[in-house]
Amino acid sequence: MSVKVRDMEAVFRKLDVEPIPCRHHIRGYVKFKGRILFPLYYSFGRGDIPGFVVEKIAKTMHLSREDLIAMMGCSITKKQYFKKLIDGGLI
Amino acid sequence: MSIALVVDDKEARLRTHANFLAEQGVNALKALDISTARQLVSQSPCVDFAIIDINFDPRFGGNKQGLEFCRQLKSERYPTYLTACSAYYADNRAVMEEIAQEFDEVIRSDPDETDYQRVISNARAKRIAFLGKAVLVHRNFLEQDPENIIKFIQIHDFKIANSKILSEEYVSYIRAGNKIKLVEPVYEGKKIGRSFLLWSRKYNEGFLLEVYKVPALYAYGGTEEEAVTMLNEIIVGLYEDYKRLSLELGADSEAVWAFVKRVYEMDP
Repeated sequence: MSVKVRDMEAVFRKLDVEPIPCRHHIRGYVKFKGRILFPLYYSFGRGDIPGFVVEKIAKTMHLSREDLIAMMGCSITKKQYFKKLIDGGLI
Repeated sequence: MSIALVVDDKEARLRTHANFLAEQGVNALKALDISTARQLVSQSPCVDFAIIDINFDPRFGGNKQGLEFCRQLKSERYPTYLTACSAYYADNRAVMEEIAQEFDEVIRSDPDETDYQRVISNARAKRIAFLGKAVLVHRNFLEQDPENIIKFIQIHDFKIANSKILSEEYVSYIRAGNKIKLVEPVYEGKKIGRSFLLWSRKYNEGFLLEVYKVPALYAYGGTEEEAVTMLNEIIVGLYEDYKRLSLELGADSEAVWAFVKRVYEMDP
């Protein structure tokens, strides 16, 4: 399955990441209880995000590619995602 | 750790500088003559400040050589904080005026702990003031003024000479087709901040860059240069957010900002 910019927009919305636009990117910060866990960003555009970049985004979020794609849909909720991070000892 | 260049043809004073600086958490690169100093600077782009003697032994170039070296550093790099430390010309008003004009600060020939602390603090202030300006100009470029182009980063091939220091992670990246590159932040043609290493990998769709040991910082582009521009935008953006917003950090974000601060500022 190809990943599009709008799928990343969905991730930002799901995790309540406030988007900060700059010239080529949208960046934001994934926060948990007011603390920033990591920055997240993607390029402008309407096309597909290259597969190697999807891998990088997933790695940044401590997810597998499959889990990231599940996040873009409805299979993983915000609550489930943070639980996963807590269980993994990340927060 | 901050890095200082100390240049003096008197070994004892060179040792004193290095010892005092080490107590303040600063690693000193020592040079007994100007040609060694030039060599050290060319190999180490990350010099935060320099303490330079003015008068050198005639066998190594002689009078006021430190002054010439200061001018050279000013023309090549910014914002390295330049400090003169010399007893030789103390009675010569004309030369002392010349020194005061070229250097950021002149310290006495037998400095104590407070002198070094002041130099470190002034060096940090100079860098931060400059970076505030550079980030502002960069933002104007991004948002309003595309003609005012800033080349913030230059990229070089990089090789690690001693293969024994390579970690398993390093080897796996190389096996996956990555190349390691050295990047130098550059503003108005002068080196600023600290250089850092990047992984660069070519895919059919373009180049993916990843900051060495900071995997959360990456960027891609059709060409390597384009990817560098993208990474630059991200790093500058993060630095700007760090300065602008009061960010409470946790998890991976601490390593990210430690890196961004290390590139643009001196270590605390």
